[in-house]
Amino acid sequence: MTNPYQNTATARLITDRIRDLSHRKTQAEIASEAGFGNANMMTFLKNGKNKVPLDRVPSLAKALEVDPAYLMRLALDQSVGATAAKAITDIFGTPTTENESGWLIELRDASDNSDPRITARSRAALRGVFGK
Amino acid sequence: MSEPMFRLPTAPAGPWDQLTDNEQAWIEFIRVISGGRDPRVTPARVRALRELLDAG
Repeated sequence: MTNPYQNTATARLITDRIRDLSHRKTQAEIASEAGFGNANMMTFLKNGKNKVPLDRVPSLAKALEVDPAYLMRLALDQSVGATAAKAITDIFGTPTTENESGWLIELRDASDNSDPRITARSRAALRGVFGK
Repeated sequence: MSEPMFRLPTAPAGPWDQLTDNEQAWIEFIRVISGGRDPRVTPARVRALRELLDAG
């Protein structure tokens, strides 16, 4: 198997972000900004030949302009597998993205800090708001 | 060596274990139904959230 990480959520995110940023920065510039000495590394990450090195997540997230907590979640899954990633996040806590922090603020504000339970009705409504 | 190998980043809301059980349930549900796309906070979505909370 030459591309073991092909079509992982991480590879898809990196592919999408490189495309979205292509009018402002080249793939080589993103690689350099992320601290990769080899400019081909972004191609390897896109096609799943390589996995994202966990120690590069902060710089790569900055270069790709994505939330570092979000990229860390995906990179952990890619790196150690879903089961081990779950064990790690169970111990250290799930990293919360900036968007999720925004949702918590809105939830607290809209509910007057009443800590609302998520009901069957609210689940159905949320599917309409966030679902595909 | 007192530093861990790597430190998971956290956002301003603070560590996950400082969220209430209900807040964790809301966030986990949003992750599932959005397919992990980390949806942005938009005025339309905030309006929808407020409407569903108002509806009880």
